[in-house]
Amino acid sequence: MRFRSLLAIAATALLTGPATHLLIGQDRYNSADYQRVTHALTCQCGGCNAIVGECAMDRCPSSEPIREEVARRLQAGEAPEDILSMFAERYGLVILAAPPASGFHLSAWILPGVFLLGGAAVVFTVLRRRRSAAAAVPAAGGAAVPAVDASPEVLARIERDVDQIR
Amino acid sequence: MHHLGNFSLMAVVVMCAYAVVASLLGVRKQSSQLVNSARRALIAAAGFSALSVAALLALFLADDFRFEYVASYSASALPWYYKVSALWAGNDGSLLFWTFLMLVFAAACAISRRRDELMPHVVATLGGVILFFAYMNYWVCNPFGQLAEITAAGPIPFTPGDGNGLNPLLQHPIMAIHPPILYTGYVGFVIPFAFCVAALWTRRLDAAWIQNTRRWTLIAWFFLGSGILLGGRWAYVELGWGGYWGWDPVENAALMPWLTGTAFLHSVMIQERKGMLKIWNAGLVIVTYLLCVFGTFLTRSGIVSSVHAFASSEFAWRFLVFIIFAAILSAALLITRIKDLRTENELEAVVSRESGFLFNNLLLLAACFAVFWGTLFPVLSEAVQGEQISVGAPFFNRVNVPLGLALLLMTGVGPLLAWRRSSVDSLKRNFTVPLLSGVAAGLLLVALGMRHPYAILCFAMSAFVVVTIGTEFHRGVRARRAHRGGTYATALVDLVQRNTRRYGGYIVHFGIVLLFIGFAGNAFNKDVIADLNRGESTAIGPWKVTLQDLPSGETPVYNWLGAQVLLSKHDEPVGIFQPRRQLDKATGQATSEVRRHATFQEDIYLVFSGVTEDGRATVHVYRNPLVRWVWLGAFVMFLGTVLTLLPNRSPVRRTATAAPDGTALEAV
Ligand code: HEM
Repeated sequence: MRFRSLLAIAATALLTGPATHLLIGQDRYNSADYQRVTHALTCQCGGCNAIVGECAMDRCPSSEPIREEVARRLQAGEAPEDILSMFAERYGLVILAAPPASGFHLSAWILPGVFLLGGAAVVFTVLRRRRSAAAAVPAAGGAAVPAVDASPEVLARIERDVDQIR
Repeated sequence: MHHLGNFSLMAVVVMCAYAVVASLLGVRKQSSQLVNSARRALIAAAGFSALSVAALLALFLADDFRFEYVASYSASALPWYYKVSALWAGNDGSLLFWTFLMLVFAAACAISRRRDELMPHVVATLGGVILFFAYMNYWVCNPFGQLAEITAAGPIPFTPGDGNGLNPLLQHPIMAIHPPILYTGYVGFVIPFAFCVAALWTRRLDAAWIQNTRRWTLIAWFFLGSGILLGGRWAYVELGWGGYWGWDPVENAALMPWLTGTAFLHSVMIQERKGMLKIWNAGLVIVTYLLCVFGTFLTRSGIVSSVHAFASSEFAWRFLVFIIFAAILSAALLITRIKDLRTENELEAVVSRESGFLFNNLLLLAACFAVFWGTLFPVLSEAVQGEQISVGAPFFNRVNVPLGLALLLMTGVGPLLAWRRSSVDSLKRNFTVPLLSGVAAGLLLVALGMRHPYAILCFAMSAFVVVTIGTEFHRGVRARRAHRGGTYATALVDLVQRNTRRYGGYIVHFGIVLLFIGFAGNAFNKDVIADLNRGESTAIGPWKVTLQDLPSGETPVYNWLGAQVLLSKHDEPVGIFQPRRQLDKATGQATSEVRRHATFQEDIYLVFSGVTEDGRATVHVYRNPLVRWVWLGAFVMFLGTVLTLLPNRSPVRRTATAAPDGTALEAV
């Protein structure tokens, strides 16, 4: 137990160590809004598909003016959401880096969740059905349930040990 | 030389066709001679395929620009190693190389597993699949076409005497190894796929095919993962946008089979142990292989426009037909065998190792689906709505980060659950300390002022998982020492050698934790762009970047202009760096040569973006925390995978040493 506590402390320290320096200094340079807006738009230069905030092309004819415009509009006090919808109006939805969560495009957002929930439902029903089947026919399928008088803990322990040996 | 190449390609086609026919006929007539000759035909095909690759290589090395493919991707000034890597810079050559790698796997398998009773059907499956690729290579995208014909047909820019050169972004050491490694991963899954098909075909549906292909699967999985990470590394050091993963369709294409492959590696353990999930496992490996083929299709067809995507070509629909055809055949095979795939055992508890694997599979598949859906959604949207849209990083991050965190949590939970059922008591015993460490780590970060919820969760879970893994090792070592004495170190080595799969797996898990720590760093990325005169500086956090000079120069391949900057932290100089812009002479393409100052805390990533009209240097400085942990994690995963590939120390000796004192159960 002593070792485990030490290990726990060491690991905690190790993991929080590299993380703590992330807290040093707040940047004034690129405001959070600027970052958010430029990362929600895609470069329209035709081909690169980069995020505007990341487009690495030298004086990109598309990203560069967009970045400047975003900075200017933010400075003028426009709300990030308004700037985004303004761009979507001007260029079409294609400029948004993610589809809007409305109408047909909502399905882009919803289906992964549906898949996950559906899958979880399947797993749970399989587990429940199998489990009740197993309970009804104790030795079903040749899985001999050991007829020993031992507590579940001991059985689990033995199972673990056997497991380790294998 | 091109005659040799073309002839060899033709021979590959013939040999593969023969392998299919002869092995099936051999099975029918019960002629081991025929079956064996089919097997040898596959091996011969690998030889011929090597010849065709060698022929193309020779054309590249000889600067033979009569050939369209050579002229399109090479130039005489290119150093020889990039001439070699230009082989797979384009569609035709990379497909040739793909086929070759697939045949290497096929031949190695045909040699090493020649006595396997599934072999005839494996050979037939491999032959059939490879036949398709060889056909494509010979008739549809033959890399040995000569330029003269093309010029007559249409206006192609053509410089007599020299080629167009290699895309300068591809002129990087990583790009010389990344594609072969990635392709090896893609094609390697053909082996478990072929065994699975053969097992379904012959109705030999026990776990033998899984056990016999475990190493193949792991190797393919390993190469695929390494290929992905190397691709990320390349993007990071070469593309100059400050990141290593952009959720580009080509990256997604490789990630999808890796996710399903990872699911497969885990779910097979249930089948091996319990005889359950046979349909599921067969389905998973089929899906994984089809995703591999789909990935190459996605990369080449241009169906989803992307930076890497090769230009679309007329072979796209043929590829699609092949994938659909293979999917239908496999599905039919699965459905007709469902009766034989009955499980031999039952699941017993919701909290057990088995159910842990089920949830592992669920999360990996959900992530795969999210990637698949997001990648193809623009195509769907355009078809349904007629309007082009983009699905980029913000979408994938939003959807996949929670799934990834759940997966991270399960990576800690799963291995601590007992097979069949975990008692409340054992849960308490196993989870109290790890859970407390995780919570402590989380609280500590909050107390220190961290506010990013996902990052806090990620670090807390990382602490949890690391403690569970450490505990597993420690318990094993303690038990071994109790039994056999020795030092901690010898007991540790002994322990790991006895069950390389388990402890190798845990080390891979540890690598995953390190990767996630690196990913969490992304939440804190900062960057600043500044136009600097000599002597001026810009700052980001404690870091200061001062422009000193603008040197320039020239090599045979490119001209370059550099921004020499002094990097300092808290006003202490750290070093002088020279990010550059390069102008490739052959292609006229400008690229960035990034410079980095990397520590385990953070990377300072310097990009020289160009010179403004009034002569100031535009410098883009990124401060990317914890990126190094990603590469470290990749390395640890590499170590872990190598370990799982090693055989266990002989079980015979193990029982011999354990039996005399009758403590076998307590031994380990
Ligand atoms: C992306 C995440 C993961 C990766 C890359 C990964 C990778 C691996 C690998 C390569 C092995 C060795 C398999 C072999 O040698 O055949 C392994 C073993 C294992 N993994 Fe994972 N894994 C991941 C997540 C998980 C999760 C979520 C669980 C939770 C159920 C889990 C549970 C296990 C267990 C229990 C073992 C085997 C231990 C034994 O042999 O006793 N893994 N893992």
